[in-house]
Amino acid sequence: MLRRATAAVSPLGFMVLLVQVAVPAATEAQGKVPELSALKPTAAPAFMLLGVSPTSIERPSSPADFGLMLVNRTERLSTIPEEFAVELSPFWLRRHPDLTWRADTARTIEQSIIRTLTWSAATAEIGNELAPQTGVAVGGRFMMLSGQLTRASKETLIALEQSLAAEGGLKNRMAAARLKILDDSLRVRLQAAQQLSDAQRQTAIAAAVQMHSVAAAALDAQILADPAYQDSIAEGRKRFENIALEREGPMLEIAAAAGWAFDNRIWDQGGFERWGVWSSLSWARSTAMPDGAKLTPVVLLRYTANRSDAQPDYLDAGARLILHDDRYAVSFETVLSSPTGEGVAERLYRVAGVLEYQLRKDAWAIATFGRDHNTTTEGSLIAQLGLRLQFAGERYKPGQ
Amino acid sequence: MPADITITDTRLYTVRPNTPVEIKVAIGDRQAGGTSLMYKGVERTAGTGFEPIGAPGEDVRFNVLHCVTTVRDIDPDHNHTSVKYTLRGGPVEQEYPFQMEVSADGHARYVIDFVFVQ
Repeated sequence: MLRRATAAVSPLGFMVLLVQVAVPAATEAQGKVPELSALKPTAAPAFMLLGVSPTSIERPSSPADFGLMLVNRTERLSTIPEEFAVELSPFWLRRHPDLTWRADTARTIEQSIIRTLTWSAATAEIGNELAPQTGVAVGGRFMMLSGQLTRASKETLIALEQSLAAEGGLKNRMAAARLKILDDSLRVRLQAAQQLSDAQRQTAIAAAVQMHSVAAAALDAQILADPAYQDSIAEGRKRFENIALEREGPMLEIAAAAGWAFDNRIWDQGGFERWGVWSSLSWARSTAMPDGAKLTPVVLLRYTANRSDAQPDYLDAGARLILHDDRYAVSFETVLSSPTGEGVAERLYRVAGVLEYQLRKDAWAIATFGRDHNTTTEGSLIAQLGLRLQFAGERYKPGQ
Repeated sequence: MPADITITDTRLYTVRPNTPVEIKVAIGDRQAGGTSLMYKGVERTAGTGFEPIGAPGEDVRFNVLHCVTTVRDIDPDHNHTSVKYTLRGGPVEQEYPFQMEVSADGHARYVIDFVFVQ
């Protein structure tokens, strides 16, 4: 549940550190110090602020899509949609025909911000049956630093391009003999057209090209549907079924969100509730280990200002070290939470280790062990064993 | 695996007599793709720069350049694909942009013929 604003938010002057700041705490963590993994804004900020994990997120890919979605979900801009989540990238709302992947292997800070900026918005029912409350949040995030494409990823893309060119080459070779007949016929017609007057020549050229185009399209369709061609390209594509492109180097992500809450969906019974800013700095693929397992350190800092006078504010500092290879990921994380301001709250810390192992191509076993911040409360012993499935298109990466 | 989407088209490019031309194929939208070129029955792969079509002094008039570009969606942020063919060597350098949307991880195939006219 979102909390009412009852106290002033503390200054956030340390944002220039590598850092993570959030005011106030995530929804589900009310009155409880959040764990490190919750600090890193891996989900869209608006969803994090509401504490929701939407099962369906709208991702419009063009201004027309966005406009249509907005009109449909808001009943022509007359109401706030219920249980709604959207995330969009302004940069990718339009096409970029001049941006090749080679031109995106490394980015300036400006390019990184523009290309990675995404906006999110969500609404969710955050109250209960006795006190229904609707939460509304909007947020944005971007990578100020987004590293560069790894050498292995570049090599994968070059190999993929060669494979794709080979597909076209196969099609061209299979069509070559019959295309030659069509091309020879076209050449004769075009040469003959040169003897005509200007007006007649243009008409004759257009007719000859049209005839060639129709015949070539029919030939293409026949070859592309040929089982021999299909089998051949299917074989080549198996190699690139699951491409996981990775970037290495410094990654600095910054995210922010603001949230409102409305009792019984009544405007006068609601208002601005919370806002937050997150930031995380990580260094993927340490150069100390260029081959084999990769080591990725993540450093985070976050300030949590509680708007209830009954609870203290916290300054959280955390670090996570991730060692991963293709089949496993081992991570160790610790968070130190220090209360700020006047009060008697104690300094707390959390330590946890996570082991992830790939059982099969699409399934990972996960084991977690450690202690939570307050060791006197139920659930402070962290001991979990689980299974994580990789669904198509998610491009799961261990340790993240 | 999602079905491939194919577009076929034929475009004209005005050339000069006894002057070969060059073509460049650029795959945009941060996607990956490869192109096969076939001219007078000889097939080869296009690189990232301009590729010569015809030998020095060759008359390419009334011939056809067959291009097949296959693009794979590798970008998790969107499913746009685009290819821009640039031809030069004639009186005017000309760009021929094409684009289409695919499903996630899908393939777009551009089968484009260029007819060299006078």
